[in-house]
Amino acid sequence: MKHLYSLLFLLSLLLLIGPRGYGQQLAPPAKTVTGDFTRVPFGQFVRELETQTDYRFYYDATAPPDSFRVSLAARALPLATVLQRVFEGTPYRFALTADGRAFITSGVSIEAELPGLFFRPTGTLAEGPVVAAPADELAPTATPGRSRYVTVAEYKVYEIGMGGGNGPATLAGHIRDVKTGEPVIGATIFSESPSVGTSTDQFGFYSLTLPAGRYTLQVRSVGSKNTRRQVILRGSGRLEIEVEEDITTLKEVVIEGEKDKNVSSTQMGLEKLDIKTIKQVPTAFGEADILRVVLTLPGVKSVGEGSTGLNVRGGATDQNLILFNDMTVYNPSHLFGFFSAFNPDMLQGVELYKSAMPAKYGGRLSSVLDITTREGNKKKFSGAGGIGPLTSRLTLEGPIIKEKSSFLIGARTSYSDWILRRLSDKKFRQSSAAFSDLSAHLTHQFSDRDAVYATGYYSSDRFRLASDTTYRYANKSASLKWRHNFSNQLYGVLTGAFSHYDYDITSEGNEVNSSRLKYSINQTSVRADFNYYPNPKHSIDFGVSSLLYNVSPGGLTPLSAGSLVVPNILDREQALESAVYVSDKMDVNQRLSVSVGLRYSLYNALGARTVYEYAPGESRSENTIIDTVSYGAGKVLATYHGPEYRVSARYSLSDNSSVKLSYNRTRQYITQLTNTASVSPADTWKLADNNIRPQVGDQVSVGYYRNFKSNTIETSVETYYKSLRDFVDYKGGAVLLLNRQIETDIINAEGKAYGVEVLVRKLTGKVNGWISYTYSRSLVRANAGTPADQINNGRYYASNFDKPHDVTLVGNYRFSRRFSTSLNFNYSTGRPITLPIAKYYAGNSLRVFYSDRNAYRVPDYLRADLALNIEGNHKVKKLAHSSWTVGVYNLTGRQNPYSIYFKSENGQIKGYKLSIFGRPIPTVTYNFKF
Amino acid sequence: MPFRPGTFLRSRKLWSGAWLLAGLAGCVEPYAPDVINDPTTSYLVVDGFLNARGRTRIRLSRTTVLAADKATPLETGASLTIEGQQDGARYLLREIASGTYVSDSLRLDETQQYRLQISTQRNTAYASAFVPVLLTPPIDSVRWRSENDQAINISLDAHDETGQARYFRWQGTETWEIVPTHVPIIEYVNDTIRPIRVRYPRVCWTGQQVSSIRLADLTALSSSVVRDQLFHSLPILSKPLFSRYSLLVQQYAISKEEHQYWTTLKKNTESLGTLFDPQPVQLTGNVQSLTDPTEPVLGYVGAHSQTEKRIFISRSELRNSLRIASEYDGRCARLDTLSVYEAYLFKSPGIVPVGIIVGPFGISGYTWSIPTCIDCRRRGTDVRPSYWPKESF
Repeated sequence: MKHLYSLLFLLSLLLLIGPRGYGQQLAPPAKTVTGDFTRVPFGQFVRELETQTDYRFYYDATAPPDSFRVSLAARALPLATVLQRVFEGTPYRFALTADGRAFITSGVSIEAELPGLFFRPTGTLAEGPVVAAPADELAPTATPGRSRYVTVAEYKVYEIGMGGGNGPATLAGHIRDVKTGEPVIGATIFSESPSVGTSTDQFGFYSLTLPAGRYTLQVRSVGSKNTRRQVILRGSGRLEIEVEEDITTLKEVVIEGEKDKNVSSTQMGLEKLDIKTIKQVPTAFGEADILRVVLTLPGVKSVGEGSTGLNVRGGATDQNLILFNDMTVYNPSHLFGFFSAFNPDMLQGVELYKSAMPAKYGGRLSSVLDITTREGNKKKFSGAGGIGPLTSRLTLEGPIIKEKSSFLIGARTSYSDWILRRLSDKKFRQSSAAFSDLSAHLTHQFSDRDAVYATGYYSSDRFRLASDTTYRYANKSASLKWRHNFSNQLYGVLTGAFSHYDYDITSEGNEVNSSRLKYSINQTSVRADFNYYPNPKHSIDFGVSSLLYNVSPGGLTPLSAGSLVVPNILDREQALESAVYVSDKMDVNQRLSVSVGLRYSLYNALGARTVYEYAPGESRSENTIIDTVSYGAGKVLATYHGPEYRVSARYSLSDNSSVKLSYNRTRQYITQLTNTASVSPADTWKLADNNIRPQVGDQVSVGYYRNFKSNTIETSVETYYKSLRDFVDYKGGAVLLLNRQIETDIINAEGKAYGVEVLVRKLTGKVNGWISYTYSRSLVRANAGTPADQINNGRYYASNFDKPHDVTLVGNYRFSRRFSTSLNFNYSTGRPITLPIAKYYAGNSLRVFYSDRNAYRVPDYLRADLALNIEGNHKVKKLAHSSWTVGVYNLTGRQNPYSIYFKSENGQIKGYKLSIFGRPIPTVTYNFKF
Repeated sequence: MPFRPGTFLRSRKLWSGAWLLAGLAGCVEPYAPDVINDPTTSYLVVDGFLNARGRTRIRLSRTTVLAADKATPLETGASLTIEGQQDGARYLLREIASGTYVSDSLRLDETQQYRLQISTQRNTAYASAFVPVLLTPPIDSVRWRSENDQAINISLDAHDETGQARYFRWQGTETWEIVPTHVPIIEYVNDTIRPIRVRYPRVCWTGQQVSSIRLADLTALSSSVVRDQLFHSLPILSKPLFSRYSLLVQQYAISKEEHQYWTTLKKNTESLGTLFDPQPVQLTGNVQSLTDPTEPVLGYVGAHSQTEKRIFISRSELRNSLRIASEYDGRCARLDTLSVYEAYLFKSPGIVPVGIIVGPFGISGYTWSIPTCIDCRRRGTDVRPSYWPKESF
């Protein structure tokens, strides 16, 4: 091992000088020294030598240390002689090169001029999977702002593999952060000629197949400094790459790593945001909010200001698969949607698939929102946190076994309870509102081939707002992932995950009515996913998954002995959803690449349960039940299955423009029951059964992408058309909770959505950000069955979240490295509303006449926010990096409607508009990182 | 019991709590888009049915804007006709009161279909769809039962031997006695107190329509039987049960379409459109404008007969120990007094002398109350309904 170490050490030294030092004859640099030195610190001595000679010195600052002092008198002595004298009797050795470099080492002497056959392949190198040089190594001192390690690595030539054939070889490995050891996700690694590249997956893993030969591989990634590696590829092998975080761009929109991804990737309808982008967007409460930033992306909308329910391309809020490290999150928000339930310091970033959903994902119609946490610092203990007006958060991370395993744990809590109790209004003092979330992530790297990841997540909310009713809801999830590399070309991930969501609503106002309503859903899943890179033209994904749902659809129980509430507990529901998938991404030629995937999903609704059968041809109601069937435990009561096609293609028109096309079908077997416009904590999830069919969606999407100014300005136009079958809508006056015959209030409607999304994004420079315009429609039609099951006489009507026009601007201006401002502007058409338009007297009572469903709209939405980010200084080595964010939310103070409601006052029915953030809201947040 | 999240979430307090958390007060502003207060929005409302066995009574009115604080305007001066589809028979209705139109007692032929034609003063013509005639079977019985001394539940039984009637609707009218607590024995006439000559009524009657919509759908049953159908429920301590209460239940056999109309209307009127309320439905009915087919017309005109049954509940039938509220609880329960020297105050019409206070030296004063506590005609009518049992007062 010692031998290997020195060899590597030598090799790296060699490579430092490699490009110029080898094979070139340079005029020998001036190298005589004159001067009297008496106990001069070594550093000063070296500077003197550097001024007198043309040599540059490279040595570890600690060896020799400054305590090493030089006493010497020299008159035009050659440098070699001077150094010989200085180092006589010390462990230090030196070496001089022909191109003017001087290396000083401790203990080991090196040969600066190398034997010509040095590059002959050696067994040690070819077999050794890792070529990464030790970080605390001799290095140039002169490159400012770069760590010595990275600079060394960039100059070094890595020799990979054995043999000298010309056949293709696969290079694989990980890209990690040099400081924390965390994988860098979505980093691209590519060779410029020939033009072959790939990007790292969620584990930071890449696999690149190239013909044998010498390459310069460029490495780019979001938030990291660009770097490169020089390799001589003789056969398949591994190369671990470490990159440096770009601290100075902490508050910049950095998409630099994937500069031309917009144009060159096959993937369309994908939006990626890293946490740095997310952190700079101003929010109402000063805390970075992942869902709120997702809402600024084209094609993503929500019905109300406080709502984090996402409507992606005209889809309902339940049609998004929200994954947090592969765990499904059923309620991603805190405090009725004012906060998202993810601690920003834990996060790596988020990916939103709006179309061309990878075959790996399924189970939801509209989108996949994949939220990933970081891995935790594998090298040293560190932390981060923030203090805001309503919440505080703290994240700690560090190695458990250095370089092998790490932990990352984050907690966040509100102190709104404390504020409420200090208010004079009695109503508010009786209120309470508290939420918290906790997430933990452990990583252990057993070997290069095996790694295990464990994540736990808990979020909880509790409110009682000036009433006797307490709401509580919680998410609890855990996942365990084992990743195994079978070879450079094949790896697999086995994931087991468990998600739990429950809520209860407790009413304890008077003894007689005191009761508790409970709902819960459990989801247990196992999946195996494989990635196979047979050759540079193909990238194949395949896998299987199985998911067991267990829902307790609701139970109302009395809370005390004196309560007269009759217990009413609905039967549990169970179902198994399984799927297999395979997809192949292939590069047909330089211009055309195609991705073809097929997912086949199978769904079984399982007993024990009692289900109802209804008279055919009649509107379903309690009165048209013709049979009641009981199924035993585990018995299949309904089966649905079908293929889900995932196809996409890219055709490059030129180096900086391309056209992409995609078609995908998705199937969804679970539906959120909410007949209110926004997401409420009393919404439930309902499994498909023999009366409620799964929803099926098809989407076709076409886009044109073009980059300008050497990929610094991205533009894209995407259009889509979507059709949805068995979309769930509700009859007038539907009762969704504790309803044993829920199907009697549900209509299987059909939906269609279409739109155009135009995006211009500037990635770098002092001014950066994006501006998008979206025109989109989302329409529903319920015209099947009896007139009772029809809405608006069976015509198409606007869905609850149909907001045709939307303009969003997220802009950033950097005054200096420490000061930047962010501006966020959003305009959208108001959401549709069904208005009461007249009142009348009939059937012995006053009645209200409503417009057609969703025939009118609430006033348009307009908001601008401004934030100023102030960074501490950028010294790399300091105790803690801190920053302040000062912001104003809703700068113009426009009273955007949150809710429109009507109430009866002395026989008159009056309408009111409630706006929550109806005036500018200033916030200050302090963030720190150590 | 269906659980409605709306009842919790509709609470404005909840949202005020949310503003508070934002560290500021949210703002509530009146919201009145033009469309909801457009005075030209005034649709015709047709309320009633074609009576297959008797007088048809139709009430015509118009919708008003939501903010209106007056009663809905009536549609007067219209001409209404019942028209038979096959024989073309036409029966005219007469306006007996503003907006109320009544036919002669008719016997509609159940083998053909009928419709209602309306022509308003503004010369707009409307017609309901032709509907078949359904004959309503009689109500077998109407019963009441005390539910744990908490409430009185009134339920009914009915059946149709022919099996024709599959959908039912019921309507009801409540009537009850009002008995003043105090009955004056004196009056103040010509500046003197004297024994009363024209007595105040001892009892009056008032009532109201049962506003809830009661429906039944028997399609899932093998025969047309309504058993123990809850019609109405009232708290046992409520005022109508103070002395004697009566409920008239009217039964209608209706068509599937009409049943659907009422089902939707029932759901629709329970709540108003807040963010957390269920989606309401636009509901019109089966009447159309012949002049402008896009004009909404509200109401469903069915053709069927009506059967009815009345029950009485007397205070004596309820448990004696129950403290049932009276109309005259509270302020009216006790009397005020005036001394003999203050008798001139009885000149005021707002003060009604009730009785005399006798002291050791004769009459020392008078008891008195206000007219609304004494005169039950302020709360009802003293005309005894024809169906009211004689033995009570």
